[in-house]
Amino acid sequence: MKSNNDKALEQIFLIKNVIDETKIKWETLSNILFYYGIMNLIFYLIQYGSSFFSFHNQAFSITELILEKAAIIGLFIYYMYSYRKEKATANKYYIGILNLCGIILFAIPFIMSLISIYFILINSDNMIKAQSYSILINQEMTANIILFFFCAVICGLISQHHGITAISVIIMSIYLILSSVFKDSSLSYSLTNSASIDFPLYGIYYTIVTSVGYIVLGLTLRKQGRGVNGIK
Amino acid sequence: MELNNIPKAFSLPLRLSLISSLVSGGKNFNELKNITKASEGNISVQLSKLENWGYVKSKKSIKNKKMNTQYFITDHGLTQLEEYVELLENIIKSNNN
Repeated sequence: MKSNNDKALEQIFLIKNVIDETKIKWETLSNILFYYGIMNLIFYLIQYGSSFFSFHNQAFSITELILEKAAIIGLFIYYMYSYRKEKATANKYYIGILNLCGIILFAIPFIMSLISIYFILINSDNMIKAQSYSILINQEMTANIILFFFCAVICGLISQHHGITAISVIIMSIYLILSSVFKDSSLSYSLTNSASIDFPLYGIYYTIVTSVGYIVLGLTLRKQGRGVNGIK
Repeated sequence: MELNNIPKAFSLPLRLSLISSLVSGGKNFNELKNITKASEGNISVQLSKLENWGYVKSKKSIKNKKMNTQYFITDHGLTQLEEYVELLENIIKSNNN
């Protein structure tokens, strides 16, 4: 005959196991989006800062590129570690969503980078290289905005926060308008009497969306998760 | 809540599983079936009882031209579950002292 203590333990474990299995651990997804946004913000600030202070030489560019790729790899390792931990206890729908976000945040940008490198390497003419690179950068930016849109829509649907979905539609629409109708509009900053830097408006908008946008998405999911997940 | 007046809603493991699985949000019948691994008939009967006792509520909607029923834990159900967990913790603590 089981004692009250044994019965109580059994019941507690039952409740805990069921809740663990069904709980959507927003924390993992929100952390990944948040850190992704922070990482982008840091590198954009470095890039803009280097333009202002004119120390943008080749060595700096290479160092910055290496650091950026190292940061992405670091974040990917964190993603894989979190994913493996979640896979043991989380439900299959949440795992599917984590997979999708992994593809959006890491796999697709990685493939686009490879395509960019390929097109640059196959062209020997510097003028064609520069033009190809410019076109590819623009396409990559558009693709990244679309990926952000999909990420935001997924987060809006799973958290049942329709505001996120609506705002992501507006964000993408603004980018498409800026990059097509207002693509020649820019903010100018004078370095000296004779030199100035032009920052395309759609470029500034892009950096804000893909940095602050992901940070806000991560924070919103974290806050949403606290409201949804049951016993406090 | 005391040991001698534990609500009937917590007297069966399946009922406890159903209530616990709704803590993280609404679920449809198939999701509850996957979580509890119980038979459809049994789940149906227990959900009906839990609804009558006010622990669970259901919401019907039409999705892809099919009737879709979502089950949610009620505020009363959540409060009672919290009290029940507290009771269980007290039992364990008092036995360990």
